[in-house]
Amino acid sequence: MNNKKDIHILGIETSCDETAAAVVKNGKAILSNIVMSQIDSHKRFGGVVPEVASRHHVEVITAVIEEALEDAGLSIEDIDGIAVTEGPGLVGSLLIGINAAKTLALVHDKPLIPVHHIAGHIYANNLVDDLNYPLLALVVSGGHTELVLIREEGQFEVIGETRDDAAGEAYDKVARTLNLPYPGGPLLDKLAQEGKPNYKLPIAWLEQNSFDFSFSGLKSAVINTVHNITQRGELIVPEDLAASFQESVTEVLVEKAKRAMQEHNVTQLVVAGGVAANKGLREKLKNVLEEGHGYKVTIPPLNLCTDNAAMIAAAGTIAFRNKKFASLNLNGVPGLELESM
Amino acid sequence: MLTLVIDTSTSTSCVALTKNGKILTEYISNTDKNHSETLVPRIDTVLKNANIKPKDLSRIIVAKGPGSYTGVRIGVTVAKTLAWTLKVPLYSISSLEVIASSVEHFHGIVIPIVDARRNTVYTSAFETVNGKLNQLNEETHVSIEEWAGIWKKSNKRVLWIGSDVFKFKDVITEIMGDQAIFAPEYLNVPRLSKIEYILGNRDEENIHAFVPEYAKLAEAEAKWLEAQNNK
Ligand SMILES: [Zn+2]
Repeated sequence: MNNKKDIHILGIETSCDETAAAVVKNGKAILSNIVMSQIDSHKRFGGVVPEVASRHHVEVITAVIEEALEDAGLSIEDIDGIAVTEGPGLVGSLLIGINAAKTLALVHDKPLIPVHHIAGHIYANNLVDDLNYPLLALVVSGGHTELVLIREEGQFEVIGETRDDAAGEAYDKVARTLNLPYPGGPLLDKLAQEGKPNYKLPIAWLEQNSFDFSFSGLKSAVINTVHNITQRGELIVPEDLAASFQESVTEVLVEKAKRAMQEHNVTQLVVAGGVAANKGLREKLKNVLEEGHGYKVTIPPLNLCTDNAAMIAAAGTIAFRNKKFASLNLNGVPGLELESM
Repeated sequence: MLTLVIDTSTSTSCVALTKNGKILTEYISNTDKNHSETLVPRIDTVLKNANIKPKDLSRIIVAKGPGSYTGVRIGVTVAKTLAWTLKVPLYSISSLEVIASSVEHFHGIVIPIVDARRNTVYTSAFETVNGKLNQLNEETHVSIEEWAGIWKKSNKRVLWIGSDVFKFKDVITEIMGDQAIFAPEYLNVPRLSKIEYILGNRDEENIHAFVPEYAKLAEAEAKWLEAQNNK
């Protein structure tokens, strides 16, 4: 049949420090993708301040949505559904996007689609590649480190997660130890490219069959290493320490992803979240999984790894097809669990 | 002319709908638990009860604060989005003026307050003249002792108003004695249908750029500024 109508979903994302809106066609084609980053404002505090983030969101929310529609060349009447991040995230930030989305849904009588932020990160991959189920997702960001098994579209099973710090969190903390400015993660990655993993740092494998992660021990080991070397009056080589840290993190991420793929007979890995931008991780995933085992590895481009609304619209399109709608009393859920959608 | 009025700047939730200045619906609740959850469904109900479609609205008026940070943000976000997507003008009014407007027929000084915690209040001062409110100073954030002390020195009798007044009644009385007057409880609830009347012919807001009136910097920002000044 050729008369199947195209689905246009407007996505809205305000879970942390990015105000974003986007229009996606059929869950695949990005018609617009507007991201207003607040990072310059939060830099002075050395991290995201929730109250400041909420204030920025209110300031730009309607302008960002308008730009997304204009860029897509569509009016709100052409939109089939309004997808918005329900959680997890900062509650004061979430509710700005949610209340804007609810208002649009009310006025234009459109379905309101609640989206889990991590489901958004995972389905960012749908914007760049075809997805073959069962699928494994490696979610790595400032707030998350998870292995998610997706047996079929829209079904999520978290098979492993961090027991303490998220990978991105560990990057930021270690970056601070090395006196790199906020946000330190990307700078640490850059530094690691120039060094050799000469420092001996631990890898937390945990129990033999566990797909869980732990990064707090590694973070402490870096701090201790810096302390001990400085005590001896020697100088640390930041490039090498960064490379050693990166090696420890990526080794456990890639190895556990590989084992999970073998155990669950999965042949495609999708990577999601801000740390997917990490060059060291990308290279190792490609080397070990693609070249080493013939698996397919999908990693979205940088602008789709960090928080954006195209990913919310992409995930929202799947929920739209399954008619998973919310009523107008939708509220932000800061600790929302990743379940089926 | 159909006007929708929104005020979620305190724990009281208010939505009003007027037609050419006449009230169609005025909704007031002190029991709505969470503005983020309830405001949009409430607007839906208010419109449906009056058999009005959102697209019939001709303008939006919102109480812009100061008050609860989250509360004013929800009201302002919904108001901005409504005005922008409906392509109708957006007007705003100080949440403190809304509170003061309950007693516009009192002759003298009216002080609206909203609890800002740690013995501080968001406040302003108005003088009522022939049923009209003249604002004497900008919205501010001040300790209740300091504020009551200032008005004690004025030697005037002043009327304190707002649903948080009861929390500060003792300290105000202690400082001001019988210079302090308190309104009966029913006047402490904001009446939104009055907003249209007191709005007069103020300018409309620039919808995209419109932000709440917080009357206070975010704590992290205040500390950061202080650190800069001490450098
Ligand atoms: Zn994210």
